[in-house]
Amino acid sequence: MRSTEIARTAQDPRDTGTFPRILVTKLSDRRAWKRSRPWLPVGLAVLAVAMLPLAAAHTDLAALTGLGLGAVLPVWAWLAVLLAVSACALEIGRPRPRMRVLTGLTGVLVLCTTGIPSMVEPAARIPTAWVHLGMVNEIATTGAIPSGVDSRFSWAGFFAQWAWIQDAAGGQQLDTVLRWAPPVIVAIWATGVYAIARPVLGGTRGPWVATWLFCGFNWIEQDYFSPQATAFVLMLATLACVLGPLATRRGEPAGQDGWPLPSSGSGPLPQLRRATVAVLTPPLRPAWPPRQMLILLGLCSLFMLAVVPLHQLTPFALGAQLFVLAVAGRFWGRRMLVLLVLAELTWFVVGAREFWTSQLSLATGDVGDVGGSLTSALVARLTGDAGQLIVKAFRVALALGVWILALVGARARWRRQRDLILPLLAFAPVTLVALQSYGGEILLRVLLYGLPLLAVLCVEALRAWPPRRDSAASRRVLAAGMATLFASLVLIRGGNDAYLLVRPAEVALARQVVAAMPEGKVLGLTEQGPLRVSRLGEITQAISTPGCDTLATDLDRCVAAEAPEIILVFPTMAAEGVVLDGKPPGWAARDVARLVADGGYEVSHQQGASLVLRKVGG
Amino acid sequence: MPGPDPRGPVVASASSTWRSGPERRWIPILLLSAGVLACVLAVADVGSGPGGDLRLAATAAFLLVGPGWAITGFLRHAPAALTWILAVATSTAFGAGIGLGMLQLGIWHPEAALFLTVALSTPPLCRHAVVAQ
Repeated sequence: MRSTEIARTAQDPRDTGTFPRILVTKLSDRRAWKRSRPWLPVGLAVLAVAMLPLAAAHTDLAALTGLGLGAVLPVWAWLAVLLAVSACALEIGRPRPRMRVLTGLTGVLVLCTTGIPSMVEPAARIPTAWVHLGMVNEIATTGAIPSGVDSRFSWAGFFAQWAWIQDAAGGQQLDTVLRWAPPVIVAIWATGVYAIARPVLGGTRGPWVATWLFCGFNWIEQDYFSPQATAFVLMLATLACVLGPLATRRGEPAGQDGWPLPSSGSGPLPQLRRATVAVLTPPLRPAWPPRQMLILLGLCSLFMLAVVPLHQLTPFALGAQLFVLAVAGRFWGRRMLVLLVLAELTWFVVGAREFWTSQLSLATGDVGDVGGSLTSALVARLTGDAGQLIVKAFRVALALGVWILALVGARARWRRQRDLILPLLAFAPVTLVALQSYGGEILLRVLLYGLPLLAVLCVEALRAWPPRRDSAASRRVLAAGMATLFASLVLIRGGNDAYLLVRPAEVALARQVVAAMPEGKVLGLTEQGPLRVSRLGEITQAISTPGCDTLATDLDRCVAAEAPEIILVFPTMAAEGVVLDGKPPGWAARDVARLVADGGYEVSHQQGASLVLRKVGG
Repeated sequence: MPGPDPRGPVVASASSTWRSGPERRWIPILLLSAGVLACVLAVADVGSGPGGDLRLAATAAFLLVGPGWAITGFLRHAPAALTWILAVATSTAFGAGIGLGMLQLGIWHPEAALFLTVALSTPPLCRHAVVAQ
């Protein structure tokens, strides 16, 4: 662009010596800059953000169906998505994309897609997030980790961190933090993905496209207020270091890249011996100054120590990826992997003692049962009404799509530079399937752990196609694809909102009920809604009867066995039965009427469609 | 002409050619301001209303980025994205470690830990603000 302008200004009639050539060039540059309408992407982004309050005001949450949030979002929300995508596409298509503008536009894109539920719904919507808040509250209130309450307390790093923040801030409730956690966490993840993609892909546009693809493919919803979301930040930071400044290759002592060659005159070595020699050959030292390298190695070691008490699964996924890189000799400081293994073993034996002395079967029961893990992770989840099945089909299609596109990218990268490390890194977390079913969520976690690398490979695929990628038509096709992807993301992520929606009044009711209890047991009719939000250590709030996943599973038997003092009934529980379990509308009201008619319970409080059932004589 | 590197052969790192912008100067100042504000509001025992929300925002903002930025600010060769993700990750690791440490040792003093963290982070943050790239 600049050379064109200079060439043009060289023929400028004003360039007769009166105007210095550099000044004319600057003037021409300024005119060209104005002609490129630099304000347009920013203006579109501002408009997109302005659409969000309109979307919030016109969303009818009472009309949610099995199709979820997508079916009730007004046109303003879809317009916000379209404007945000258009802004990103325009900026990336400019001759010289501006880094700071792209950063801001990526934030707007995340807010207008991942952040839509936070914008239009009045409170955080994942029930598990409320359980996590209850665990944080318990630590902040008592200043200790309760025992025998929840196995997740054996990995209490995340809860301890937020209990510290909450208590240091005067004991404020973290409801607002919960509500806005998804877009903030995805923005942090996006930063990590960009930091990974930049050294791997190079160039200006590729890393940004990889970041957007990561955000667009991230329908997995592990970005709520949770230990795994935090542990994933540490994982991304470690990968950003080992694929960035700590990245290296094996080479000859003289610094030549590639496998070490045999001495001149000697015959070819057997393949196995060559491989062994290659694996044992130390990689070349990266070019950063030693002090900077020392800080980076120290930080990576810190992340590996910290990720262990944060989450059960993430250290194994990170370990698998680092193992691949260490064997390939692709990062400096591979002895850190030993630190991760030692830290994991030490924490499991010492820190998670309560878990393995009482609930070890939870972790070991599925080892080697790949078929069982896949069944519980995929087949058992494909249930629900027509709307739910459509959303779930979209999820499966998007997951398959990202893997297929990534494999195309892996092939392109292999043909160009004979590099298989990225697909191997993306595939490494799949080994977790053989270890654990993780409550049927293992495939979601595997997809998430590989997604940053898959996004990078997808960019490789896009770079290989189409051949005339600079044409305006291909740019329009890619922009339309991006708009479709992010619209699908909004539809998919909001697909469960018929039974995930939480209202602040329900949270207040749950807190009020538990606070008023001297002792005893409080259960929900099902597991949806804001349950276990406080006093986890004093009031029993988890179901323990075998065969009773919830009280509604087998109402008479489970209620008789558990005999809770309080049963909470929220509207989302009824919706869950209808859209997910195929129960007839009004089933929850009939269950409540049956409990009351039997004389065991009475309705002690009603707030809209929320009910509190109290045990008669309790 | 410089001779061969005595520490052995090196491989060029793509990230060594990146540079960060002027935010290197004002981000430490903002973080330091958030930390000091959190401490002041804690001393004043502001607990509810808009003041309480401000206290939560200042405390969370500082504890989620501040300690990490105090360390990663020394990475002069790191690009902005890497600096940010390392700062958040370091603060997370630090927060989880300090929180767990207080719980395991039975010395749960969150406000004292906040004061200490702000005090320890202040010198490096000041240094990063003054000696910005």
